[in-house]
Amino acid sequence: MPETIERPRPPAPPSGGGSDGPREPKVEKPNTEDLLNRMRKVDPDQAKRYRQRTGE
Amino acid sequence: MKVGRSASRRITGLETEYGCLVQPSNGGIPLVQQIRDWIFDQQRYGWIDLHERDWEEPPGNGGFLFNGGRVYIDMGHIEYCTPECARVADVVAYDRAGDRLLLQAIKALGLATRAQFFRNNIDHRTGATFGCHENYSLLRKAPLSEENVLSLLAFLTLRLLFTGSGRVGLGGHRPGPSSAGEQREAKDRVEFQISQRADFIENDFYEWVQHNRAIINTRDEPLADPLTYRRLHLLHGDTNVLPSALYLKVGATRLVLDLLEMDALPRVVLADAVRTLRDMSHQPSPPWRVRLVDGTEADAVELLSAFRRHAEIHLRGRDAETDAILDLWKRVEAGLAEDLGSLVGWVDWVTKYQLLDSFRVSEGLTWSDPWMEAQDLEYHHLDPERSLGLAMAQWEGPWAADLGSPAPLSEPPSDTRAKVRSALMARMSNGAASYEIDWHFIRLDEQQLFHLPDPFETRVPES
Repeated sequence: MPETIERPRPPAPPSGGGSDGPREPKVEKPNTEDLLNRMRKVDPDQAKRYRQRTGE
Repeated sequence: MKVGRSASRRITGLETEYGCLVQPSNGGIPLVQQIRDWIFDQQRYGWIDLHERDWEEPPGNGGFLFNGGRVYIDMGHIEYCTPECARVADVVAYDRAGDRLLLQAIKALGLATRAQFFRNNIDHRTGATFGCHENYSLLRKAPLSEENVLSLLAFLTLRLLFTGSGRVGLGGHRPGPSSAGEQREAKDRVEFQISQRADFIENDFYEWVQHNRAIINTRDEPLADPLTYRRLHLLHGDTNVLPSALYLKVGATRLVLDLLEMDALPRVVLADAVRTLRDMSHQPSPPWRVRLVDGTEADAVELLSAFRRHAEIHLRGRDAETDAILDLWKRVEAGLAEDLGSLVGWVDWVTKYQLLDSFRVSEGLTWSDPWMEAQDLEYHHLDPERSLGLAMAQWEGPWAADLGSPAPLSEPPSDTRAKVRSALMARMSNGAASYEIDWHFIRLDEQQLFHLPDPFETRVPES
């Protein structure tokens, strides 16, 4: 079976990527207003009250 | 040229440690113990251990389930192990059965207002981590040459691009030399990263799981016939929320192990796998350039593509599940290369980033706001009514086929030794005064000993 034909990709940028720090991913914003409303009800201190031991 | 077309014969099992948030109690039995006791009370879902187990696990700490899996308490966590699964779809269904067991227990015990459980790997406040360990059977005769092992290491590092669950911030032990100033600078820069676990991985190869965690755990503990099998034990992966992400993580890894056993892996050797894992995680946007051992650099997506293309050549067409994995892998690879937005609902870190960044912008927050960590946690909530991740999941695909079935809660897979274990446990209900259960043997009443060295054996022995 022949290898699957790959879609062309843009040329790679100059080497050393990452040295200028992470950039914002180019991701379209979701149309998720209901979900955002749900998120507004999340306790802002939830992570503070989350306690674990190392586990494993 | 195809060198093999037979269906994959590989056992896979997952061990999930659940994060939990518990309101302070006024003494009494710790909540995780209440949940464990509910699961085993009157053999509701399994039998509690009567004997001490390996690694100093005391009697009564946990037990085996009628679905062939296991529940126990590990370092204060509830931990659930799936039964041995031969199909990737079963891995997903039985993994989700663990969530459903916990949710049932929480509801039955009236604990919903006191406790919340999460499918995640980090405590943002204390820097603690807990894992989702993967286990894959591997033939003892697999050609573990240096080239093959380093290629496997490269895949296990690079797969982070589709296995990462995403996290807000930075944490854990940071490998490699770095000054305090560099660490402060990194903390300022890393607002969101691809992986929950990457910051906690310090070695490429090591045998322990609680310190010096490695990408490949070298402990040789097959829990099966040691002349036939090894067990590859991985602890560097994140706990996935999206069923499609879990399906791809397990499915692609199994295909790569198939290639390894066929001596058909592409030759990819990273200069520094641990640093690559961390650096990729800290950069949630393409391109991901990684350094190879020969001093050159390459694109991580293209390197991953080499593994997929080898799987296409050698494994495409062997069975429906293999083809489904390859189709999903190709789709995700294209998204990583060209359109991250197309991966929302398919890949956890992309989905989480999109959702959390939308919330951040709408509320005018910075990534360092504690509310962002709270949203990170909410993404992983066990309750489907709360989980932000499950709200975004793609449900069309083989990964979702059995998620609603009641069977995985109490019935084993039909094609592995879990079926034998479950049947023997059912036999115990007829009055065994004592018993000892483990993955590879069962002893009843001190007189009957059943060895289970073949994880694919499904015939139930006579008494």
